[in-house]
Amino acid sequence: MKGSKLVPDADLTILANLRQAGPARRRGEEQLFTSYTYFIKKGMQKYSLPEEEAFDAYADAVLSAIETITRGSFEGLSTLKTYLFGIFRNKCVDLLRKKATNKSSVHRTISITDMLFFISDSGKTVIQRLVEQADRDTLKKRLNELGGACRQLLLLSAEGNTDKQIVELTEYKTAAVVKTSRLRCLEKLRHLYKTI
Amino acid sequence: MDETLEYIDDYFKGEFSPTQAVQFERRILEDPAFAGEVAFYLSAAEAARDQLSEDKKTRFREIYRLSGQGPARQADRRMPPVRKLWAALSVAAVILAIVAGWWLFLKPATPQQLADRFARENWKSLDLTMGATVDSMQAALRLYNDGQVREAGIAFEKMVGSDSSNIFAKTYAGIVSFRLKDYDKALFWFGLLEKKHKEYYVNPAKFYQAITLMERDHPGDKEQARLLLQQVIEKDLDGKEFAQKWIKDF
Repeated sequence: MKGSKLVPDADLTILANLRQAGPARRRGEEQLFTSYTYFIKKGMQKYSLPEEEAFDAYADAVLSAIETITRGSFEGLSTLKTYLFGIFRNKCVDLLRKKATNKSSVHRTISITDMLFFISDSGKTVIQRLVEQADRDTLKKRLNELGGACRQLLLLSAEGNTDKQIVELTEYKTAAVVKTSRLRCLEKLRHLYKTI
Repeated sequence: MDETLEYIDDYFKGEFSPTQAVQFERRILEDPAFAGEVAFYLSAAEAARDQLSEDKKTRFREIYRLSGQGPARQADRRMPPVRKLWAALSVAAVILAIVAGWWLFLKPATPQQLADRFARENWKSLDLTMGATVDSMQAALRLYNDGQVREAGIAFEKMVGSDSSNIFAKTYAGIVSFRLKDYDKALFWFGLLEKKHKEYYVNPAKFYQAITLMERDHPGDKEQARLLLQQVIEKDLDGKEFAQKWIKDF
């Protein structure tokens, strides 16, 4: 990919960082975010959005792009700038359409859909209905009440890091310890969620 | 540990054989309590993903705010729109790399000399564009660059007092303490920077702590600095280029 006419070297650096775990990925996220923050001003001018909303659209666009890249779905058919601006433009239009609704709903992860693919159709229907009934806001609240170590562990896992990768990013000694700790945290979260 | 959660986790981590997967899915249909557990597992994963996105967005907001592009800086229209803090840090990293290359030819003898030279080359004056997002920061940096280091230190500490999330004020407070040879205090600030701002991976805290220890040169400091430099290299943190070169001289 190096030297490709379509993908500038700066993009390659960001992409390479995003495709790693831990600090490198975090650096890639920040590099991508800071590279095109002027889109926010463009959004304000072109779509007459207040800065806060243009920022939301931009941040959501960056998060979507990060998700696509880290999942390996970014094909590199355009520059990151063009790709990101396409997402950003759609987010701005979405915002204009949904102005009367909750802004934070602009970015929705699709991880749950991915995980449901594991399950056969009949089981999927049952689980999907149950998942829809879950109170996600309360779950998030309880997640934040878990405390630093548990919260970090569950978020690292949610980011797509394997237990082995988590060992490299934390002070845990082995993947088995990570798994045990992670499941204990999940147990604790379930207890908090169901009893409080 | 809850065996049901582990069983569900193994399924979604793809550790089941086709036969085991069929049994798992059958259980979803036959056992409502188990289906509820699976739904909880997935809902928790989704809540964690949502929280992760929120955390990242908060971090982006902070970067954007500190970059001076937020509403508070609208009066300053002369600044190019993409003049960002992290871009400035990238420039600083390039400068660090250049200086690192220069160091390759000098081969300084002791860790203390290495630290001393680094401080003279990099901390004699501070870039006004780095973190200079508000007038008070600009004013403090000017004080520092004009040689009023102690006064600048008071200003940086005051800034931390009014905004404990200001990583730049903490960094500069540490640098000021170093310049004033108050190494314990410098270690306090750089330590705080490391502990309180783990979310920022563009964070020179470990490297700066190593420099301070090298400069202080108390018994055990050299060994501790070596450990920190090792971590900087292993975790690919800021200052890695220096650490890789310096560690050979320990």
